[in-house]
Amino acid sequence: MTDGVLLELRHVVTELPIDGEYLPVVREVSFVARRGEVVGLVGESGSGKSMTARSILRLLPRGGRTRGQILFDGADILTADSSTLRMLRARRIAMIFQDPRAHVDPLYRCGDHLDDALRIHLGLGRNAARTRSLELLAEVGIADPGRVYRSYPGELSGGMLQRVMIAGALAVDPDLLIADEPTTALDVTIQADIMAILDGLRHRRHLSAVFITHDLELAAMICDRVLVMYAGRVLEDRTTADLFSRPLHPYTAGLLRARPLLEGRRDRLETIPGRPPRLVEIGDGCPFAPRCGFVEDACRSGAPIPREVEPGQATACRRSEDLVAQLAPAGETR
Amino acid sequence: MSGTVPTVAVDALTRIFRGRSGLRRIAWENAAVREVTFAIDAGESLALVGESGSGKTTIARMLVGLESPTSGRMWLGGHELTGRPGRETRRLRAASIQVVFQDPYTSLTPHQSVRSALDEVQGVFFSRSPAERQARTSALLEAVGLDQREGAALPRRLSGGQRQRAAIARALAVEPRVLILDEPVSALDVSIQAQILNLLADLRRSLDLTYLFITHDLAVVRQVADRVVVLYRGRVVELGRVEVILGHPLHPYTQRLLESVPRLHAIPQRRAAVIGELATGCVFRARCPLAQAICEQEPGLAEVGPGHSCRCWLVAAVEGAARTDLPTDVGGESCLPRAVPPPSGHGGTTGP
Amino acid sequence: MDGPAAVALPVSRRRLVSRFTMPWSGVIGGVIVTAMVVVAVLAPLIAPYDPDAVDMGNGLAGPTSTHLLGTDNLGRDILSRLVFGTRLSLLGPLIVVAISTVLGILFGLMGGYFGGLVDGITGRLWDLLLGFPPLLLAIALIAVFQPGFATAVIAISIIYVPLLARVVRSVVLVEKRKAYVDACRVLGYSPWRTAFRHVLPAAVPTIVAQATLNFGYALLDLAGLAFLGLGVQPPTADWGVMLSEGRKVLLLSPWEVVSASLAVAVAVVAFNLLGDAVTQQYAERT
Repeated sequence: MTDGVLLELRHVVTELPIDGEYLPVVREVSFVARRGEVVGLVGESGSGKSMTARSILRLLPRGGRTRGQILFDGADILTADSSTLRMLRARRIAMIFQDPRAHVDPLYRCGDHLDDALRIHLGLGRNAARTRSLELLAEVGIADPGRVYRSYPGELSGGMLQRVMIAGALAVDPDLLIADEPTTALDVTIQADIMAILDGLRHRRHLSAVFITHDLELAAMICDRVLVMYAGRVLEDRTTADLFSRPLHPYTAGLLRARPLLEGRRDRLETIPGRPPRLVEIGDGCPFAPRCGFVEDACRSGAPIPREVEPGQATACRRSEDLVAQLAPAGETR
Repeated sequence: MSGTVPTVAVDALTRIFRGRSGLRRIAWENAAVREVTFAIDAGESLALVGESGSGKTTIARMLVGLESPTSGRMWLGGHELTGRPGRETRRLRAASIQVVFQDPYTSLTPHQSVRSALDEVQGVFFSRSPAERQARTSALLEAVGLDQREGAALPRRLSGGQRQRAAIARALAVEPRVLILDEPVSALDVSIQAQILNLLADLRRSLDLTYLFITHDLAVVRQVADRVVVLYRGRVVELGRVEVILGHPLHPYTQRLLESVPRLHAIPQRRAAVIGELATGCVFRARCPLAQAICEQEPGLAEVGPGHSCRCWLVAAVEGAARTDLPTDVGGESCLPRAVPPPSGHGGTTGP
Repeated sequence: MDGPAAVALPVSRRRLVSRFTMPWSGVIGGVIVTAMVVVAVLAPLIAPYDPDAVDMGNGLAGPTSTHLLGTDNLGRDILSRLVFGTRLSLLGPLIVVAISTVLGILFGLMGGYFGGLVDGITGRLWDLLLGFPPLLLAIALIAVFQPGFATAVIAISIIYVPLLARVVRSVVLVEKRKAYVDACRVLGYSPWRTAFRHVLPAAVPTIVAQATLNFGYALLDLAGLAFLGLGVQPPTADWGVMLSEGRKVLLLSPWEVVSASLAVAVAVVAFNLLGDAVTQQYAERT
């Protein structure tokens, strides 16, 4: 594509059957991911970030349905036929998950998993596949690829297994990688290593990625753009650095102020009162309104749609221009 | 604060798990905690920092009696905790030290309302009239920020943050001196974490509590702790005041932890992943970028500054300044040539 | 696409709806069981005749307007005997379930919570008991003592203990690992308090479901024993006894056998339906 857009979501709504009725878990999400770009979906529990990612590959729980458009390289995934969809999932879009053990068959060796992908999807012969598998394992920073190749998933630690999963995802040389909280279950030093691997891959292979996490700072490590999600909606769609220096939504500002700082202790952490809404509690208007310190009557009716306030920076808060100064992140520490 | 008895003290605390596995019943051994020594003064907040396998949770479990140490000693308020507690010792221990667990979704009895749990604690520990009990329960609920409706609710009706508040209330109901907080906010959303951290800080001040705070999150450590113990695979690798440890970490592992904290556009240097650890020598040797031949011998915990200890040959050598000969013992003696008066019971070096 | 979908129902109403929607099969089971209880309690008012009233001249009569289900070989009204038989058919299983549930909870809780030797011994005991066909075991036990209602009930109760014990034990094993059990220990609660007041309630839904099913099984087993002459003895009006006596004259008049077997079948099925529905309800809740 000429403008480099690889993935585009347009007004995507995903609903799940809960207790007999359909409730939207993804509400009007639209964003773009270009080639070589890493887009972060950041949100707390119930924000819809994970469901958005699953909607891209149509991996919804039983009964779930999605409407809108999800364009991948120009073609709409939501209307694709089953063979196209299979090809997309096998060759062009790869996904890695939070808990690698739940997504791998423990009865086969790691090498078998990688070889199978290479032989089935790329048609490589046995020896060629083995060679390539070992290369891939080395590429994800494994010091002894041969040993890991021969190991069963149960013999490996969480961090090691996640590297193997990344290798598996890369085996078919996909255009897009969807990473759903890939480091949440890992220790922080292992997490740092995995992030380094993903960053290296992004640069070497010109890989696009959708990176899902609840940790804003983690997204900041690797993402070019960040979408802040809340209760199924996109509240901010920003470039990373700009989001951190100038949050344009009270929720983002609140999140940034609520985090303890490594640099120094604060007298009190600023909190966002209340808690994220449960699915059934979400009504009309801005979903953050019940907790927002800057709420007005107008906020409670009418859906908040992200609008571009500057080139490349969009926010769903109707008052963002007024509030810029008040939303600036606090800097004082002791 | 030399001279006063520390509220919590452990000396050379060790816990080794043993078992036999496989068809051939091959014996295995896992030293989850090895020779850990530290002390917490009254009103202080000490953080145990480490990743999985560091032993931090096992240490906490031993302090409250959920596990028995393989060797080593523990003291609570000057009283030594013996291996096999009788019923009275159990009750006394329970009245002095309590825990807030990591997972709010399984740490409350599922069929018991918050009120009922608080009433039960009081019934077991104090002889109060029903009116007193009710008043006290209401006070506890208010102290942790739960309203009457939430107090009457079953845990499954409460959110993670509310459950954690209930768990805190339950721990406080015995009126303990020490509270162990085992990753109390890790399972909560960011916007709720701050609420709970603020609550814990308020409670410590108002109730004059001593905290043992277990976490892997260094930003939380900075916010809540006075001193830090850094653990790696059961060993104390560094120990000292939070400003020193987080500001100028000396041990390579502490430095690695700090580098790994997620930050804007800060991708740390890539490192190869190694399977397995090396059986002897420094615990961190397999992953340490500075590993040398001497690291095949396990270093002792050396004092490298006032109240600041570090378990690393190279750090000890540097801080010792111009010491070229290598120490021969690894028993935890100071590697420094200069005579530094030992800190009063704050852990680190043994000996005079 | 217009604005976000607003929620149709407020939260509390939706929860109410789901709690009372039992599968229809469970409702049917429940209705039948309730009917049985009513019949048992009001038996003297419902039964047209005295169940023990003998009328030799009218033996083995088919259904008539005076005897809706006919009479047995001694001229007793089958319908009346059926109605009065409901009493023992409910009482027997009730006692069985009561005894086996209490003992099963005790052993299951102890074995699961304390483990070790207690668990080892009881575990082997359950394996032994469950390895035998229940009726055979009951017969062996009864052979030692005199056959009768009490003996049969006790024998079946003993045999049913492992059914509850195992189920309670597995729930306890799962719950034991959870943090709230650690919390109880840290609070210095005695193991008994922790086991009975904190862990056991988690097993209640499973216990209720299993006990309801056991009701049906007990009914069947007790009727079987009565049929074999090892349980309730004739001339007591009991479905199993009726089956036994009716079998002898089956070719002459099938009414006793047919009505008694239908009664047993309907009752057992009703308890099973109820038990399954209860199990499902609790499975959905957790």
